[in-house]
Amino acid sequence: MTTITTAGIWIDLPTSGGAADRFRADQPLGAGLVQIASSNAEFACRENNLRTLWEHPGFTDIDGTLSLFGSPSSSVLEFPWDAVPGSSAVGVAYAGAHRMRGYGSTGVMPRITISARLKAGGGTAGVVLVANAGGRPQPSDPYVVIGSTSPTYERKTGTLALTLGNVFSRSIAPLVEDTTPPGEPIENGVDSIVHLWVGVWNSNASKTSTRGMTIYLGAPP
Amino acid sequence: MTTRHRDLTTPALYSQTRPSRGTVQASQSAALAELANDAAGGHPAQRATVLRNEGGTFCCYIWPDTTAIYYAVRATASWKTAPVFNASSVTLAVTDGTTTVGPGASPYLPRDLLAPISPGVSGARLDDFSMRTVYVQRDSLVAAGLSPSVPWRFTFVVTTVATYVEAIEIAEVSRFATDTADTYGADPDYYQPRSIIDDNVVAIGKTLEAAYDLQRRTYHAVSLDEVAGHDHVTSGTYAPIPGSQLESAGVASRWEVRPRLMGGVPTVQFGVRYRTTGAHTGGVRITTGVGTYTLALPTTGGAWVDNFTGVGYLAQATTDEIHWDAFSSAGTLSIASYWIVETP
Repeated sequence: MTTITTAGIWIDLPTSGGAADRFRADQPLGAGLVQIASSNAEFACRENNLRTLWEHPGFTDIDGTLSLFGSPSSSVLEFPWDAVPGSSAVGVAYAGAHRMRGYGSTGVMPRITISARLKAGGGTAGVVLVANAGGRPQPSDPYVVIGSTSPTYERKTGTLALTLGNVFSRSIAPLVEDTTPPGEPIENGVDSIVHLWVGVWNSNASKTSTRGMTIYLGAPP
Repeated sequence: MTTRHRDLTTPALYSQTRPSRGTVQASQSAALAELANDAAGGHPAQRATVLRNEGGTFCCYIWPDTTAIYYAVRATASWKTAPVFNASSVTLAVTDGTTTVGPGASPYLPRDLLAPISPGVSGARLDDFSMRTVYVQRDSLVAAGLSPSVPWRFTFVVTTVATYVEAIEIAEVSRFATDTADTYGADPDYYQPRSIIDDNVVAIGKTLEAAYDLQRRTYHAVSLDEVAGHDHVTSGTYAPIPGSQLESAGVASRWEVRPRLMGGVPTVQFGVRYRTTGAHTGGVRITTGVGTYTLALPTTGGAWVDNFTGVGYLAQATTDEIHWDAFSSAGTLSIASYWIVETP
């Protein structure tokens, strides 16, 4: 049986607190209204979650020779993540730690999407996005590669599908520090995060350039 | 004020169990309250990132009129060319344009923020990344006198010694409680089996409205060093901005974003942190899939000024592309921060 949790659109209800408020006191609470309210809440949970995570103006003339991702799982580890910044051999960026929650109640993670405009002066211009628990990317970490052989900038987009097994807990309990001694947290809890890493390379020492790099969360298919 | 803890859960409420004209069960209302809470407070979407740098002054922006009350601030550092035990430091000042907290020690900011960040010395740059996370609290800053109804500028001043700050991130944190002091938030405990429907149910409607209205998605946030790394505009007519916003000569960088599709055309506010070298003026504009929207930039006489009063629209689609142009009537227009944020 197909189950439905949302109509997939926001259904306007009369203004809360107004004379026509469907949730005002002493009104019957019909199942139809609860159905609409549930649909809206599920839809908002899904839509509010999708957001920009990171942006980067791009890398210019990356010219190291790397033949990567022919053997995918090993190449994530072999990528020179330790490259000294400013080197033209590869581009490396730590793209931050980001809250990752399911797409509404589906239990499916939103797609981490990397989008950039790439060009290759020759060979293949490549960008890899890796998600992990923090620290050096490992062969088992999920990743996605986008590439281009175009001599002019073209947009390339790749998506990364995570599972609950790819996200990690973060405890949040900040003390209230404007008192002495500091007071108990106003509220505290645990959310789930993932760390993102971006690498840029060229396959044959030609020049890779990237522009307008963004990472955002998109809806799963 | 009464608070009730909530874990970050998103219950699945199937429409089939709530047929029209059916009778609502208490458990269904309780689950709806929990789902509404998650929609309102579970997925805040403002953030900004300062990219790798060796020092400077960087400004990021958060609009505090959302449901989030914590802002996670994370700084990551590593050594520059060889392992050395040297430190990076980051100071933070927050202002609403009138009242400023920081950058020095303040009871309204996390004390750990000011401690030096020293990378490891194992010999591998990435393995030696050192991260510090602190949580800035909205209510503390409001208590210090900042207005919660205007955008706040978070100014990070970075100092390094043979190190890089790899990133500074700031992001809204999910809510972990409902609080009767808020205008939203529905306590599931009100919905007990066989109890009557009382006026607490009005909170569900208010919470659903918060899920729609008290949310802002940061679509674009670029923070450049005010001291040495910002963009310069000298074109007398609107043209692509050299620096962070330029793809190639005469072509603007285009940024892909995911519009928030709650119904209708997504509305944004946009603007820049800028200065003019003299008495001249300037302007910036964004172009989206819907149209081009301009923002006049009055003279600043050499001072850095925030102007985020531009209004525009995004495509009602799963993706849209944004690019920036600018002009300077004379002299140089300098831009250090770009910000595009949703106006729900």
